[in-house]
Amino acid sequence: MKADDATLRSLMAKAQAGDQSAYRAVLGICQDWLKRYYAHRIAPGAIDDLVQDTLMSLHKKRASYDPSRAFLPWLAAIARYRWVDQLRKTYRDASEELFEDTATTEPEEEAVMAKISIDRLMAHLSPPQVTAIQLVKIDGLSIAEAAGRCGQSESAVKVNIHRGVKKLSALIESE
Amino acid sequence: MIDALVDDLVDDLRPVQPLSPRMAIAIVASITGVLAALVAMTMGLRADILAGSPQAILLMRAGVLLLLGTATMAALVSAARPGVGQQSDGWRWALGAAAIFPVSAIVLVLAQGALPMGILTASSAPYCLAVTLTGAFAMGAPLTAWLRRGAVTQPERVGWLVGFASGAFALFAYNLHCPSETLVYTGIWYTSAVGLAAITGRLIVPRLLRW
Repeated sequence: MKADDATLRSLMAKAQAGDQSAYRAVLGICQDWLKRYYAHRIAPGAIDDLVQDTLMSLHKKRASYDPSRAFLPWLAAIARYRWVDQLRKTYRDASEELFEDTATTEPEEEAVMAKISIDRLMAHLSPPQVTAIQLVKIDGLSIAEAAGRCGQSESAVKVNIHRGVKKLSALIESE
Repeated sequence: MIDALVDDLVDDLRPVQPLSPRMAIAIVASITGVLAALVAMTMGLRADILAGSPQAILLMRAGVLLLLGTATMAALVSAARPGVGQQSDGWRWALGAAAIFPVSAIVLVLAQGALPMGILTASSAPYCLAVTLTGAFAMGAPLTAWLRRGAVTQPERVGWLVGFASGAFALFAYNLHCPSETLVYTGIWYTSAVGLAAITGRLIVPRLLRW
């Protein structure tokens, strides 16, 4: 089911007042919208979980919707926040799977897809930033160990992680 | 799976009152008012206010602090009710305008060629910091509680905003007493007070807003 923003606004206002049938309609429309929104952003097998997480967030934060404003930008803001969260988790999980050589067919495909998505973002960082993030945030080395491994000073590793993660967040926020 | 979740969420539905910006504004306005009254009663108002002929520096500080507080409040209220494409960057301009004080202080100190020791060791400075930080905490705590009902998607940025807003309004109250008349004092101590409030907000608030 598709609906225009005015209809969604009206339904959500009723849902905030406790109207269950309006709320069911809102959730149904949001479910479809979120599936489309996430379709090209994360691995296909992870979409349902992320849609569920987002619907739960929508439920928990429904008081933050202002019925005098458009509905879809609000939903998109919540969806993007959840997506960023999911990306962070996927980044860790995907890296573990890829580095541990525990590949099976379908999970590997998902992990690779997630990895590709992350690699696309990482391509915007400088090589020292990528190395520092990889060694400390993914491989779990200490700052000192990472510095010894990559030849950067400890303070350079810290600065590169800080700047790299900040840039990643900004890239995700701007998409 | 998702259908079952939708059923649960619908069953769990209770009426909610949409988050009201008026509540956040009322919190800040009332605490600023109480703080100003306390400053007036315990520390006393400036002589120029009592005489009804306020000095230019008092008005400039009050204006800049109100501008900074209002702009940061507007941005954080907007952040509690997010929306993709929503712009609320006015607070950056207000912060830029407030930078006139520290920048002027640096220029004046450089021109004089000596550290302003009298200002650095001013007996009123600890009061300036204490009133601002106490007031900022008194304002920031309920403001953060209000924000927790919202859907803050940029907790770090909102942490800065809570610190700047509550610091600016608390310092506005202290400004009614502040005996200082100089730009250098304002540039050093007012900037330090609001800066400390902002850093405290950045460090504490984001972890309370995660969801």
